[in-house]
Amino acid sequence: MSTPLLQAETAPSGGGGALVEKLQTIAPLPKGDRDALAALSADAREMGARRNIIREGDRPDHVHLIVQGWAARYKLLPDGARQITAFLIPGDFCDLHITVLREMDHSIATLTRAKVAYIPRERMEALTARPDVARAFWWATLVDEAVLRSWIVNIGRRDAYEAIGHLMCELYMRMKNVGLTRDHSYELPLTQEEVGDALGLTPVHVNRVLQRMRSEGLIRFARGALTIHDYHRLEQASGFNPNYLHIDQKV
Amino acid sequence: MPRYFFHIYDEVFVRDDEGMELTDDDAARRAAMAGIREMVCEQVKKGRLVLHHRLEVEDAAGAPVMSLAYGDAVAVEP
Repeated sequence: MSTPLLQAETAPSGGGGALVEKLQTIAPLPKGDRDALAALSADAREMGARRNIIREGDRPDHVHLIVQGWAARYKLLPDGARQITAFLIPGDFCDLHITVLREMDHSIATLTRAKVAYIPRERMEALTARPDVARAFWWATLVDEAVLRSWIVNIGRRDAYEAIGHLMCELYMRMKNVGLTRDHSYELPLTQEEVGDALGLTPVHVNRVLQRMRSEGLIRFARGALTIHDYHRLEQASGFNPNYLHIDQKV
Repeated sequence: MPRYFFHIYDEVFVRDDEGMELTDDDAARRAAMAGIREMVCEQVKKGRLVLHHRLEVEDAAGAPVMSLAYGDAVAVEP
């Protein structure tokens, strides 16, 4: 289903590329820090698509880092419905301080084939002893919370068209910040069902909206890749303001 | 699980190229109903309700499974 069309061509070199790229958003990191972060990705595990990384109720004794591919945080409802509460892309941690908690209150699964690093608590603690890394970790945690806030606004106050457009703009900016876009294209390996599960929409409705966006010449979305033909118009149509991603500090 | 495709006939024709894997025709009917009701809701929020639009469900071989008018998915009372 998902074809990593763009990933191979645009993936940052070296296993730790996306993470180092992302954590240098607020300030360049010293070489020692960069090497220590890059080393986290070295022994990442290869995982198939749609495999659980950790499930609700499990004891979180590792911090997980997405090195390659996509994953999602989700919650299952008693009737079997699923709410996706976050998409995780290369360079994203699945909760930096999760090992503080006794058990997971939600699950995390891969969406595509992925490389996931399992990092023991002690190793994370050693890293946070580096002041610049600790500061970058706090930045990442605050941005994760800001993304969650923006999703509440998206689900609560935008119609389906605006909400889908907003999600596309957000993922574009996040992918761009880790060097995984080419012009206005990026790998978006999501099914209609997964987009719907993230926004509280039915797949049928998602398909209707995608068709409207295509017919308006805003996007092309096929074989797991999205091209935004008119980024400015999509941003305006969905009320997207990237301020909450705090990546303007770069460049 | 069989894959079902949900083609929309409203102001325009919207083909479903992706489909959904569902256990059986009953599950496909539930998915179709949920989709129609949600799209109707969004119309109603904007002050409009069209009941003759249709959703056509096909199986993976392209054979028709069911055809539902939006009006079939909501009970309208005066």
